[in-house]
Amino acid sequence: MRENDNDNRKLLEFIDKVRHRLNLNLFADMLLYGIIGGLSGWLIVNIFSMLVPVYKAEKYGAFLIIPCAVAGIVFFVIKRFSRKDAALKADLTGLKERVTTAYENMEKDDMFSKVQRADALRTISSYDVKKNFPFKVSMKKLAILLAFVLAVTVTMLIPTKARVKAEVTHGVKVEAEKKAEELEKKLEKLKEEYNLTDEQLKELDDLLKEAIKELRDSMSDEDLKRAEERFAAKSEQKLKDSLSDNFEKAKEAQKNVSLLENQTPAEQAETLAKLEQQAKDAKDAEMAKAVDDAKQELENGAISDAAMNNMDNLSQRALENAKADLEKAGMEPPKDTNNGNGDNNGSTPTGSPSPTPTGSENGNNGENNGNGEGQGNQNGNGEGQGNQNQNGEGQGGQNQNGQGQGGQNGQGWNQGSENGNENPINKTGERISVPNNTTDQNLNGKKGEGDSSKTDNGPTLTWEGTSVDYSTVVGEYTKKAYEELDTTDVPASMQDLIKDYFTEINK
Amino acid sequence: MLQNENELQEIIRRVGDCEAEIGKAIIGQKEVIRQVLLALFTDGNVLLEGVPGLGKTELVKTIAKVFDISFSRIQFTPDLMPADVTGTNLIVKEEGQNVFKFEQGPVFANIVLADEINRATPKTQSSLLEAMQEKTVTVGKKTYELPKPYMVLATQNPIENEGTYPLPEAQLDRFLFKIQVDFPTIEELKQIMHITVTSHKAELHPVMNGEDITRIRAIIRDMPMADAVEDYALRIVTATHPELETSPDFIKKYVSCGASPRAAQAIFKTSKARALLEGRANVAFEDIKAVAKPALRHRLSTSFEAIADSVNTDAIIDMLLKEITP
Repeated sequence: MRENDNDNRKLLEFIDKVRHRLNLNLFADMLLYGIIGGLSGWLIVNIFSMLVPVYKAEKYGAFLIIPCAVAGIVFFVIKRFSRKDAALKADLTGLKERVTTAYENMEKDDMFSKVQRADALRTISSYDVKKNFPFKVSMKKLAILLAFVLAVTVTMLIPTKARVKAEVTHGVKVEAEKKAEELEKKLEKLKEEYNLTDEQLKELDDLLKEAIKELRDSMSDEDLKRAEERFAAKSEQKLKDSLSDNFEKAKEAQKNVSLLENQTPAEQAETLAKLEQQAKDAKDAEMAKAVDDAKQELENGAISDAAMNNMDNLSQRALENAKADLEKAGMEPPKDTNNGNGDNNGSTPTGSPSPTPTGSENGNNGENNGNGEGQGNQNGNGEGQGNQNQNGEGQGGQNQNGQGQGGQNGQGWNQGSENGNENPINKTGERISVPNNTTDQNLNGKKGEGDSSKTDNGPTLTWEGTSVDYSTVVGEYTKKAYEELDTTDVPASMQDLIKDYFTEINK
Repeated sequence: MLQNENELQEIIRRVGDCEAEIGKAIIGQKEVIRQVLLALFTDGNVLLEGVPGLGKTELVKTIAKVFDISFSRIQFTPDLMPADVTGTNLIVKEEGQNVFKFEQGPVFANIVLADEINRATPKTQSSLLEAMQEKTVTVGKKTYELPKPYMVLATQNPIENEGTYPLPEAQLDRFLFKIQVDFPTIEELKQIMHITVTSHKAELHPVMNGEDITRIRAIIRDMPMADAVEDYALRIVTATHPELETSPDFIKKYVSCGASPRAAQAIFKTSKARALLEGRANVAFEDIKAVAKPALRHRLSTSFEAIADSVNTDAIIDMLLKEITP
């Protein structure tokens, strides 16, 4: 039995040696196959990248080698030789199935098996495993490998239009990301810099998202530039609109505060409710608190002067902030648009009155025949004017320098206003006294007074408006055009044409 | 059962001596001699096919002498009767009474040469069936055992077909081997002339006897055979069946009926014997290849396509051995 064990051990040692050599060769083969497979994949990717623009596909194709080599190793693990396989392989080198038979009959103790085992051991004692199973890599496979390496190298280096395009597109993408980041930062800065409502912030965010999408969809530097410009134009416009709106609201709030003093408790309650809503919209916590306190006081009897002053100061401060925001944005605070509404027969005013400060009362600019009896008040520089025979809409802008702005474009004609209205807006920090008699009868200039008579000179196309700079106009048109492009079904070629057009006029 | 390694070595040596002794009288034909010995050591019968004058009868006689066993020869003719082969009951007088006594025919010998077996009628041919398969002869109601070892060597002429009765497949299947006796080479022919037409006669000495043959037969049965080798042999036999989907296309084309399980038995037994004669204690793939042709060639029925393309069974087996690899 011990003799058998010894024989079996020798037999197994021999088989293991053969197996080791076989597995070594198999491993090398499988690895080589894997690498060749990876290289062939890489070659395909290279050829593909020569035709289709994929950024650095020829370089990323190299990564195919790793999974293929791993697959080769996995395949080796699955296919590796067992002892039985190794014994059979050894037999096929001239051992005439001695090893396999002996291996299969290792557990048998009959005489024939012993004799056979002894015969097998005798035969393998002079057997050179290394000679019969040398570690060698097939030259054919190596040649294939080298051929693939060569092919991959050559195809990787050939410059094609597709590759150039891929590079450019990638550059654009990178740039787009960079620009998107910049836009985000800019927007953040804007948000920090200006007091904007949630809704306004959301609108700006939407603009940013839209711009980022546009940037990411860009295929060229031109596209990037356009997208950036569009965003700049849109965001600027949006900011201006928002700031103007805020300013108007602040003015409204201040007006409401000023009205409180002369109102009945019921009206005050109503005004306070408005103020509360305005404070909420403007996210002005102090104002909200002040309004709340005022409401409390009102419930208890009457609003105190202190509360009144407090609200006044806060509303004034809000107005100043809004104005500061406007100035920061390079804008001029809008002039009062409510003055000089000589109720007219003129059409809706649209043009901005030309800046022709007269310093006079306004509202009586209905030339000639306009019954402009409205009176400017304060220091408003009436500017608007009805054209020809109608009343302009001069208004007493009383802002500081008296450069109020005509409400839109004055296109009134025919008749001038009947009654000019004053609409005093006070200067910063000033209390406003609003007269109780705001009806026509109480105004100085009443309808029908004076010697004016109406002479209808017919419609005319002449009017004056405010000066708007070129870039603003073009920006608005560009914005509108892009909005139309987004919402209407315009062919792609035409879209490019339109975009090019606006790009050109934006220069 | 093998007693020790020395016994095996002794047998191998003596078998080698036998081959050498036979070779004294039979020039060339080494493969034929080897195949006949394989059949002898595996208890099989042999069908020798070859043109007349190639020394078939001489071979059988020589084997009988070398193994010191009895030999008889039956010349098969169309008028040969079964009783001429098996023997018959004769009425003889014994102690004043007429009694039937069985008179043994030529089939009662260790080696029987059935010369030109295809010339006898199927009835006579079939009288050998029981002897070949069961090693017995039944005459009337009595069955007689044939001597051991027993072996039938039949010959047939592949050229002459007129007035012959081709052996039916059932009888062919009972031959372990069908051995093709080819024409000798010039060198061999020269030696044959030297022995046969001169006064030089080969002196043959018995090397083994019937008991030795029986002993060797028992030992051969125990010879180990690896699974892979067994599988290989079985794959070859299975592949001869055209009805199987896995069979090669040429088998489907050229073979109408594949080999029976007796073919597999023949390959297994004779490959073991061959391994022993080669001095090995295990069967190798080459043993299977060596015995495949004599074991299969008479067990395959060729199709019309094979006849049309002049493809014989040997060619088919060659193709098969190329197709089926270890």
